[in-house]
Amino acid sequence: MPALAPTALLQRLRRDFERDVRRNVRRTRNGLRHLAGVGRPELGSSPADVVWKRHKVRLLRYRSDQRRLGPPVLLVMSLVTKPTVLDLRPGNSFVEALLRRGFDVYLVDWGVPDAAEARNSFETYIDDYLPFAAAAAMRTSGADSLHLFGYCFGGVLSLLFAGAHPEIPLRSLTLLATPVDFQAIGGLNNLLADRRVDPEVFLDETGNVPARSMLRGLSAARVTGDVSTYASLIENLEHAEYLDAHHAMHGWASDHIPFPGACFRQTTDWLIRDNRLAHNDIVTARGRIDLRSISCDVLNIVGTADHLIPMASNAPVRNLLPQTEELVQTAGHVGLIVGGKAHRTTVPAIADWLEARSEPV
Amino acid sequence: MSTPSPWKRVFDLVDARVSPVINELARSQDVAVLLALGVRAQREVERRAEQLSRRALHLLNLPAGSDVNRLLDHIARLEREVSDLRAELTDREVAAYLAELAERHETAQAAGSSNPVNAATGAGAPIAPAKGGAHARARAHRPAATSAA
Repeated sequence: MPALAPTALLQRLRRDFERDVRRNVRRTRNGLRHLAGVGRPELGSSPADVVWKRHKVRLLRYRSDQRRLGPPVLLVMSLVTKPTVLDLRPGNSFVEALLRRGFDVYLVDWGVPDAAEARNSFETYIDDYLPFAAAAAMRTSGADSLHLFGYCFGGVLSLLFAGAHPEIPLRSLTLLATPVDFQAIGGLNNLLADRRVDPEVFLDETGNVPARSMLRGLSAARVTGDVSTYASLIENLEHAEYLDAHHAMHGWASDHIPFPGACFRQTTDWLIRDNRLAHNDIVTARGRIDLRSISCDVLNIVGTADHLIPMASNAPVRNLLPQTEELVQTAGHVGLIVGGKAHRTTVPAIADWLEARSEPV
Repeated sequence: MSTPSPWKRVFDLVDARVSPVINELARSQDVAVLLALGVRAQREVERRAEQLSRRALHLLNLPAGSDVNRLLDHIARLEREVSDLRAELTDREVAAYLAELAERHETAQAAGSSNPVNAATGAGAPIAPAKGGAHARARAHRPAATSAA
């Protein structure tokens, strides 16, 4: 390395000093913004209209002037997290990607349960809400069928709904990070699976599992996750874009909603203890649900780095629904649908698959 | 993003080695047993505290938390009943459409169609040009969907 002249050395030191000062000012400013909680991006901001409503459940239809494909896509979210993950923020939104492709997109927003929802069981969701939401979507769009899309526990509800209601004409069923073998999930499921703990102890005075317990339970799948996340945040504090992405993601991930008590009890007894979904042995108040009766095309998407829903817990899908096409991605539970990589790989793949099963409208 | 700073590189190195071990431990049966004991103990303490405070408050003729919760439960039931009545009025058209779909499905089943979409649309052609040919064949050989009821 050639020796620098004293003036050049001074200039370089000055440049480095100025750069470090600017960088630290940015870091401090962003750090204060983070601590104060200001300037956080709005989540789930794609404009939508409520086309059907019952209790706290709303069916949203996203506005678009680019609708060119039918039938409509009905998105079903999990019962323990808000659906904003599907429409996180502009440029990082699954909903936006589908709208851009020309789909007519609907979303079932379960709302935030309270004491009135404590008695909501699986039957409430698969027999009372989803058939009406599906019919309302088809009626509003003037369609004679629909694409059903379920994420995580929303996939479980979608599976049960599809099996229980063959009269709802499904063009396709997409399952994203959906658990089927609940005994392969591990973690805190072990607590409930071994009947060591009565599910009642998790319920609060409203009769639901409180949001903070859900958050703790789900965080247990990766206990060091928070430390890694904050280390990355500190490292990237100078990048406003990173901060926005962190706030969007972390804001959603830490904003859980209560799990209705009756459904939690059924989940514990049917899915975790008896593993009935994996054995296609779900019997509701209306009768037996035969998942093998689902005859539409099925796309099953799993992430190899999904700590919450390990691939083993999704494995029975292929046995239950032999027509399943599988998409295995190197991604985590949320990374399957959120982030730059998801929008380069998984999201276009889902849109392509749906488009191949749609027609111009 | 720029190259990670030295401290982050060290952190990532440690994280990559330590995290899998800690996460595996957290998912183990032993930790589940400890947590179960913790949950039970916490619940028992809460139950006794609630009993004591309820007795004390009732002695003073004051409502306890459990009384308020009972009222909340009553309100929730009433709220749900009102919502159900409202839904019965507002959902008539959707309910009629659902009944129509069920009728179409039954008709198609009687006609022996194996595909509910074709049944609903009245079409006999495959639902869409699927990418996998085997996929479409699998669908064609599937038995007719049966009602869960």
